[in-house]
Amino acid sequence: MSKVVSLKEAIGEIKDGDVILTGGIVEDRRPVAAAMEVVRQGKKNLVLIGTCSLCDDIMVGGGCVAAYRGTYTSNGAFGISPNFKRKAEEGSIICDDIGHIDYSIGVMAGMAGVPFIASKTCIGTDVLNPAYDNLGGARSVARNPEVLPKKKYVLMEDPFFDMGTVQLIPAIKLDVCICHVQMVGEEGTVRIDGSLTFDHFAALSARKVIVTAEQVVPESYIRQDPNRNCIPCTSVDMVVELPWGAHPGQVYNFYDMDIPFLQEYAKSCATQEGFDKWAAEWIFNENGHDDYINKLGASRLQKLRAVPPYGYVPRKKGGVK
Amino acid sequence: MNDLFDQRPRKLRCGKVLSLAEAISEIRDGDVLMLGAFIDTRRPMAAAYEIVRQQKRGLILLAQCSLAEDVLVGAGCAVAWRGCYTGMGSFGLSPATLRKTEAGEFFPDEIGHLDIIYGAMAAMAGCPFVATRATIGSDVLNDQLNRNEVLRAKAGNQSMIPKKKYEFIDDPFYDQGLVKLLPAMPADVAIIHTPIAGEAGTARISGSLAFDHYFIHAARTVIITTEQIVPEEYLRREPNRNQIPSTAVDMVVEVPWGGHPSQVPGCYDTDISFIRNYEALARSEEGFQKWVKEWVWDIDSRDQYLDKIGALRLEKLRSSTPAMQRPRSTHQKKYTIVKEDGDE
Repeated sequence: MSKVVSLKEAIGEIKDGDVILTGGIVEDRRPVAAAMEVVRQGKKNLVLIGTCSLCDDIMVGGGCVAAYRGTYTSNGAFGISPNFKRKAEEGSIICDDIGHIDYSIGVMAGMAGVPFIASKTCIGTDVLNPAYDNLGGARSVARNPEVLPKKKYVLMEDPFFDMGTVQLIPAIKLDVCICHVQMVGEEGTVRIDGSLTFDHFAALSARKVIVTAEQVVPESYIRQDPNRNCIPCTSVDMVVELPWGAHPGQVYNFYDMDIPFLQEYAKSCATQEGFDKWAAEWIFNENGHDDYINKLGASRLQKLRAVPPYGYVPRKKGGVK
Repeated sequence: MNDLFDQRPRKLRCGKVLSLAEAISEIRDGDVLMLGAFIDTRRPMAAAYEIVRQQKRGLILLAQCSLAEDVLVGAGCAVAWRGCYTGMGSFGLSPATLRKTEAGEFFPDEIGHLDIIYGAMAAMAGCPFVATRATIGSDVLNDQLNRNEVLRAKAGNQSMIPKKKYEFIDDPFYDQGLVKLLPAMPADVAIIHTPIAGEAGTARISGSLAFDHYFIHAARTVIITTEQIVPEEYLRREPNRNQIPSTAVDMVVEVPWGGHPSQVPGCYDTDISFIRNYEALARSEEGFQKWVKEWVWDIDSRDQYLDKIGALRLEKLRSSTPAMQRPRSTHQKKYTIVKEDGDE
């Protein structure tokens, strides 16, 4: 059964107050076009899990996000996520920090369907400082509070291997997971090139999974090499074909980062007015993503297109003169 | 668990590519051993034969006890086992394991199917335990059948076996009620058989990974036996097809047909008559000794093993693309040529 829908239909399935995770990492394979559609549809009170960079920051700027629970709030080389920074300083977003490894093994536990897993990773850090524990705030805005754990962590003595005090980390569960990938079959089987980040875990931890892809291919094609596929179709609910759906981020084997665009974003989003102006220019278009890529222009996109065998744009593209 | 990631002292060598005898000689008596893949798929059979040949003793097996492990049990190399499955698929229960367990010479400690997966996953992530509701209400948690103390007493490295088999706690996070804390399942040695591997240890599996991608990170010493060693650079060209990183691998051994009589998807299919013969003989001690003399002790080299099986028999097992196995029809379906005038 084909699961291909339009971007509007797919994002329409997200409800206000959902706990949501976006795939990829920092500016790599981020579902930016999907995040822009979330802003366009004016979703409210989302609880963001994982990282808060690029596409997440756009949703924060658009006023869609009420709480964030994760490990990283930056746009890589382009500075701290500007909208998030501003809103966190104002106190208009609830922020609950967890460790980097808490995120990856939390979402792994979610994938495995176990309630929690033990680790020593955050012991001795401020992640465990009760003064910064804002999990209760995140639970208060979530539509389904039971998707979030009742406590941030529990400390106990390891009864098995004499590892001393360990932290029990609750599994990460999600209402919605949105991933942007290189290739997906019509029925939802996903093939990722390059780093999987945690998409293969997150897709199995979520009630609803939306996959946006550079390319939708016949399911029979993608099943010919099952060892290359990363997410089974049984975990995927909606499939959307979105060429350049991660611009200005990068998609390995498809296109590289749009550095001037990211620099401009970082600069203009320092204030809410700046973000609103930026959003009016890039997000609130009549035809959504189609207008967005047309506005970018063919020659600009052509310069970003990845070249084999690199999978990105090497500095010396076109040869040295 | 604490010392899981500490390097175990080994003989100093400049490369990872070794002979099978050299690689297996790194296994010590009393080691906790994990053999990759499952039942009759991608089993490290050649490695198991070599362990028998080198007369290792007191090994503790993890995960399952089928085909490759059963040979170790029959030959007296393994003394105890923790896992979830002691059959050989459609060929019946593992005969030597069954016999030795009934005779009280072999000590099985059963955990659940999900327990081995979660246990290996936790060890991979470096976590001492994980919570689950799997096996609650089953005899896996029956204290009369708990042999954790036996495993701890017999293990060469006690830190690989948890102090307890399990613990109960009320789920503090999601109101799941009583959950079981399941200890991680680390091992001294993991042996994985793959279709191809690079000289530096990167390995590529076709078909089911089973839990090999967890096992390699759950063991201190990792031995890859492979159908074919290829230049590392060839595998690195398509990293998304590789499942085992070179950094996790200590030794690489090329053993063509090293999974025989099990199947290796993409290479060859199960040797059904070989396994049937093993299953019939291994039911008795004399039968097993006869089998092990014929297929291990009287065999001086891998070449001799292959010649003894015979070229034609191996050729019939070779998998054909695109099925990755031996489809029944390739030997059974006969075509009749019909001439234009209708005469055969």
